[in-house]
Amino acid sequence: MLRNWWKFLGVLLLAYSIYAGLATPLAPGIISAKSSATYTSDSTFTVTVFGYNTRFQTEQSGLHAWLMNNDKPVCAIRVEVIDETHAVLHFPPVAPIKDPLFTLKMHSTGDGLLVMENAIWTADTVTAGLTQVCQPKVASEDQNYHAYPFRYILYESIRNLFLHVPMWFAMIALLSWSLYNNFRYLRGFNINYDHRAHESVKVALVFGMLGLITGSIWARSTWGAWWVDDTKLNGTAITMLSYLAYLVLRNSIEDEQKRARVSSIYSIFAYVMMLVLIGLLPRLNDSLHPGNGGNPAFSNYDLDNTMRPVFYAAVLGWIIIGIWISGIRYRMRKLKEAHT
Amino acid sequence: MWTRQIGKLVKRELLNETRQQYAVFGIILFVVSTIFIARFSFKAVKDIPTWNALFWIIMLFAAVTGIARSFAQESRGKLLYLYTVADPRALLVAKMIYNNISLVALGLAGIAIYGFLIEFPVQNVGLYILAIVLGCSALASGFTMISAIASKGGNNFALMAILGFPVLLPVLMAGIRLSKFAADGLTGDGAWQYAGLLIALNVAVSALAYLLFPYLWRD
Repeated sequence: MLRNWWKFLGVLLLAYSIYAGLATPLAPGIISAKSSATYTSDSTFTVTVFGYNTRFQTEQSGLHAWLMNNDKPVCAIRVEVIDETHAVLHFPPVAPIKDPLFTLKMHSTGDGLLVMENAIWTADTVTAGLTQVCQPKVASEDQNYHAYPFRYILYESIRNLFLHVPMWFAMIALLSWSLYNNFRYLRGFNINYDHRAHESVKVALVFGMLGLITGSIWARSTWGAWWVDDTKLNGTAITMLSYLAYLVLRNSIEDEQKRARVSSIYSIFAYVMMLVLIGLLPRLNDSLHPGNGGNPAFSNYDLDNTMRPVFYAAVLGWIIIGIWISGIRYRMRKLKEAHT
Repeated sequence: MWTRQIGKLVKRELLNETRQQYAVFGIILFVVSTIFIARFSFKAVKDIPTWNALFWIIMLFAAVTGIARSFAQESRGKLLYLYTVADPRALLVAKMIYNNISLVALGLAGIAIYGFLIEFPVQNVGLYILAIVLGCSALASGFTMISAIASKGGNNFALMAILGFPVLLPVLMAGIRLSKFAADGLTGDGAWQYAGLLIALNVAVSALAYLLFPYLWRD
């Protein structure tokens, strides 16, 4: 019982990450904002706002809205709330200072500060600048609720972080475990280590497949395509091909010891090339993934507080579950061999 | 001792090759006919990246067909004899050196024929040749090891391709990028980065092969 403490830990971590990953709400945010006028400097105009998880009605009394252009704010004259997620903002005529794009900001004590970058575009050519400048009343910008950050385009799919990324961590951990067993095999030619290595490669390939599937679905909803030409994607696909080749190589050799020796050597080869493919090459190329090619990494602003513990729990949990599965498969294989 | 052994073994490879000339001619003919097929199927390759990638794909297949024989051509008895008279590692090093020389020569001959029959839109010829030398050398080292592995597993050509292509893809990608820089006439940090990567990959692959070969050769 005590010997298996790490299995309990794995289950606990995974249960926590799944529960917290799905049960924590998404922070409120603005999904779309539509301006009623093409030219904003002629007359008063309205902006129709659709929020997500917002509580416009509940927070009606303290709800403020303003537009930002070149760090200068213009406040709404009247905030007309229709329901919890739907509001119409009435603005005085404004002309932009420099860029014809306004950032929309809303604030209430319950929802905190809601920001939509470059929400409204105006056809006004650069002229007089803002006519009215106000001082928006923001008591505090802190969130006083526990929620995942609201990211434009990502929205609720941000939870996929707890499923998609740990798949890769688990795959690499299992391949490293397999590499370690390859070395152990080559040191003493004990066939059991080769069986362990073989089983963990198989489980790693399953995790790789799951990673590709979760990533593909995520890519469809955020980047707009099921498969994009991205170095990280291609790198992992090629890594999986080389480990599938490892399985083919195993099948082509009859003698058990010889098969173990030859495939261990190929597996070490493939592992080193995997390090190059997913560790080195993406650094030389641009990638759409966070943290590459000028894209901000998640850790820069999202993973700070609410997501970080859940993410780490998910990574560790999936790695433990993966090692556990490969151990069970190894034992099943031993039993089967003992029976025949 | 070591260098003499290796020298003798390289010489043996060369002698082998000159004795069975059909093998050398065969691989050259393979490259020429592939280039002809490319010429007839593409007519003219206007796009430089396509032109460049096509050349590397031809070289990749030439490398597989050429080097697949490296270990497979030796009979079991001959290999056994060689392992008893020479250090197995010396045999691997000799085969690597020989394959390096022959594949680099094939690459240079290949680009000459390819440029003559299709087109040669390269601005920095020196860098392009450097890319071919570095790329072919790294491919040769990698495929020598893969050939040793594949010869243990039924010896077929398909296995060589299945094992070799995914593992040597980084080499091919670095080669393509570097030669693309050369074709566009760009030099600078980007190009040298890939040249360095090719050398590093070559060293890593060779070192791995050298370290792991003692486990492989025994039957």
